[in-house]
Amino acid sequence: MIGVDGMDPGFVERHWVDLPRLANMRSRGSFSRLATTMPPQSPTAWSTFITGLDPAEHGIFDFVHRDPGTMQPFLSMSETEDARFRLPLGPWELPLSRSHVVLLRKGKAFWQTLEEHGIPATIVHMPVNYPPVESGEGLAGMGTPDLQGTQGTFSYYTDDPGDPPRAVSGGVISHAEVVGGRAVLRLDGPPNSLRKDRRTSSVELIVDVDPQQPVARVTVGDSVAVVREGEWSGWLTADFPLLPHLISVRGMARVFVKQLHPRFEVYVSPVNVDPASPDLPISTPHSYSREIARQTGRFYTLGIPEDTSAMRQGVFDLPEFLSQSRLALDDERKLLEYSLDHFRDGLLFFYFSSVDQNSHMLWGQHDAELLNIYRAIDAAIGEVLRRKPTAEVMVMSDHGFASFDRSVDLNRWLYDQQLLALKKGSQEIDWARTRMYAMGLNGLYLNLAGRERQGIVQPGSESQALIQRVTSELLALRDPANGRAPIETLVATHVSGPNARIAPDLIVGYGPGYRASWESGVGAIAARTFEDNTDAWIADHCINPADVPGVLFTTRKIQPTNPSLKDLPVSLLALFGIAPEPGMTGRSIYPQGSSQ
Amino acid sequence: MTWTLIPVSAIYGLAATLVFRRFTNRASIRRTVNRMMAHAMELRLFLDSPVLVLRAQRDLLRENIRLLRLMLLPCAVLALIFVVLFPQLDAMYGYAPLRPGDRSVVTVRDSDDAVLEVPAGIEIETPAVHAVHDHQISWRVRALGETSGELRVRETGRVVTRHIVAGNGLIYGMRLPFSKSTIEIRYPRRTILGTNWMVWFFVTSCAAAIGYRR
Repeated sequence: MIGVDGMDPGFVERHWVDLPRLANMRSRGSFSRLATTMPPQSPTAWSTFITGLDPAEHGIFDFVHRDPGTMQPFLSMSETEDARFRLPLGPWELPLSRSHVVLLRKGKAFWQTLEEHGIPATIVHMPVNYPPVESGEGLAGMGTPDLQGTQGTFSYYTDDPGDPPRAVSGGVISHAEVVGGRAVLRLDGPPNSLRKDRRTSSVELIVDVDPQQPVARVTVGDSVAVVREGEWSGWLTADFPLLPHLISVRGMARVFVKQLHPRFEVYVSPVNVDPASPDLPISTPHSYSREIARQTGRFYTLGIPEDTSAMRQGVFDLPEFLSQSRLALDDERKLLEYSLDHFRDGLLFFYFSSVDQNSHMLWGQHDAELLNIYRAIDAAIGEVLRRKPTAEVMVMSDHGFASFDRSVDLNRWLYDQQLLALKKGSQEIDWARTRMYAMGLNGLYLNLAGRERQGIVQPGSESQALIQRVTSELLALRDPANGRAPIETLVATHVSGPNARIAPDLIVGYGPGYRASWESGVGAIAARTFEDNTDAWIADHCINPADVPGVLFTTRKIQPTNPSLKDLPVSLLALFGIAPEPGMTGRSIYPQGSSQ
Repeated sequence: MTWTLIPVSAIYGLAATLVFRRFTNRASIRRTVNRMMAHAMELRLFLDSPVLVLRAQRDLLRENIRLLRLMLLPCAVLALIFVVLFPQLDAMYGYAPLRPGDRSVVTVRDSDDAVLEVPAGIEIETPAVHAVHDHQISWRVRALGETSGELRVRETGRVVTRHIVAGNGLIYGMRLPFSKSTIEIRYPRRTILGTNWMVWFFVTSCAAAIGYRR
């Protein structure tokens, strides 16, 4: 099974000639649109694919959830639980028990069921699987952090006085000074969990610049690379000290030398967990990533390796982003080769992130470049079909794509409707006077008494009336710039049980061309309800799921129904003659009696 | 070729046995060990007498120190041999030759102007980086295929060479302890069955030494 995040059926249909292996699968087997989840966000959709459950049951509604106790957003996929007991020693704080990373997705993964029935499963880069469930063998995918614990923080160093040092979304821009041909840069690693102040540990990254030629020598730890302007280094490893000379954490990064003369501009990728010596649980069994690294060399371990943030912040231009994206895709191809070499029987799942991440930056404006990515995936699929001619192969995606032209800030709209209040002279939400708020890319929440810390909306008739009012008013909302309806659908979730605390009360299905603003994504408020999207992030899928279905290709004919994501785990189990798990509501896409 | 570590370690084990025979007073060691065992037995026998237990612990500690003193000379001789051997062994077993397609960095020290010449099968990929800060020059090279030959660095008034290996085999080249070569070639680190060569070296040499004793 090949999972291609964000592969769009419309794009594929426009380019059959350029995608001969997919065209071949369509003609010999089947091709159809694949209904996605509400909301059609990757963490939500992949969780449904993994468990066969609806979001209300697996508990992943968005990239971002909020804690109703603190009203602070947090990443929905996993959390780190610190050591319970610590021994304070001056500035140090030594843990007496282990800290843990916990996967927040609920429900049983379909390959756990396969393994229980004796069917081996290899699961490579499955999203929302960090830390990976201990079943079969596999690598964690989307949700795997960098060494700083973020979803990717690049470092960019420049001596340009017009580019002041600052933290930006997804990265840090620092001032560099080249003295005597050498720049000594500070590369940040993880927060030091052994110190009370959690001070960030760091290493020196030294760049020696040739006085004449556009070439430099980069040294970090015991890694050295010679890199020309416009080139990428290989993986450079470094040990970030936690307790000097005793305990360190190993990470790795790639360096891109943008410019050496006359300006100094050097980009360093987020510090990835080193698969050859992982300090975080990125694979199961733990030795799996080490074994792959030993045989294939190091590879990106960050959940989303394509650095869209660097392009959004203007650090990368388009060719630079494409070159970085190509490196990530090359790593994926390398891992696919390894997986195919070692696959004997059972299930192999392999995930590609490139189409999704490139679609966000290229969709509708750089079709030729995006087609190149699709072509590379098509070639990889061809390789799978060639290497495993007797295997049943499925290619699927979690959602498609649409352009993102206008942003909608629902917190500003709620403010205008006097449903959300701000503290006087501040942009901070006044929770004591707020009845509803937006958080994440599709979620609307009641400020519910008994659930939210300062909830004021009473459960029952008051909350129902408010949901109905907001639903009807948002469906009637029009964009003043063009008269279009920015919102096509709203779904009240009515979640009960353990996920009721984190579930949004309403999920918003935007129309094509619209998406939530970046501000409301993290619970903040923008200046206007509607704004043109001027960001380099020009396409999205967090809209009405009917507008962004995924794809499903199979080498075997399937039943002529309208398949959906939650049908796939049921179908996979059915292929091996295994009944669906309780709670799985999907249907098999294969005709009855077609199991192997 | 890493199998050659087995005879090398066995020879070191034999050398260790000979050094111990030559440089230790075996009668004193035997006497000290016997005393240690006697004091250990005291600890078990007189558990109900705290004064005797404390005295036995003191004596045990004293005999331990005596044993360490008796072992000091042979250990120092062995350490000296190992210090001389280590750079050679680490180069041979701790690093792997470049694989075809691999990139590496060649650095020449104490130089501000030099020209690099490479043997067939090695390609220079970048102009020289003159690291004026520490008087070094570096190049990026790539192995095009299996090869073994001399890198040559030409400077005003001198030519320095260093052997480079790509493909299979071991990396040779006599190196003095605590010295750095004028030309440094960055080879990838290597493990033997996933373990550092030193672990295999010590396990094998200890096994060999025990074997010789018997």
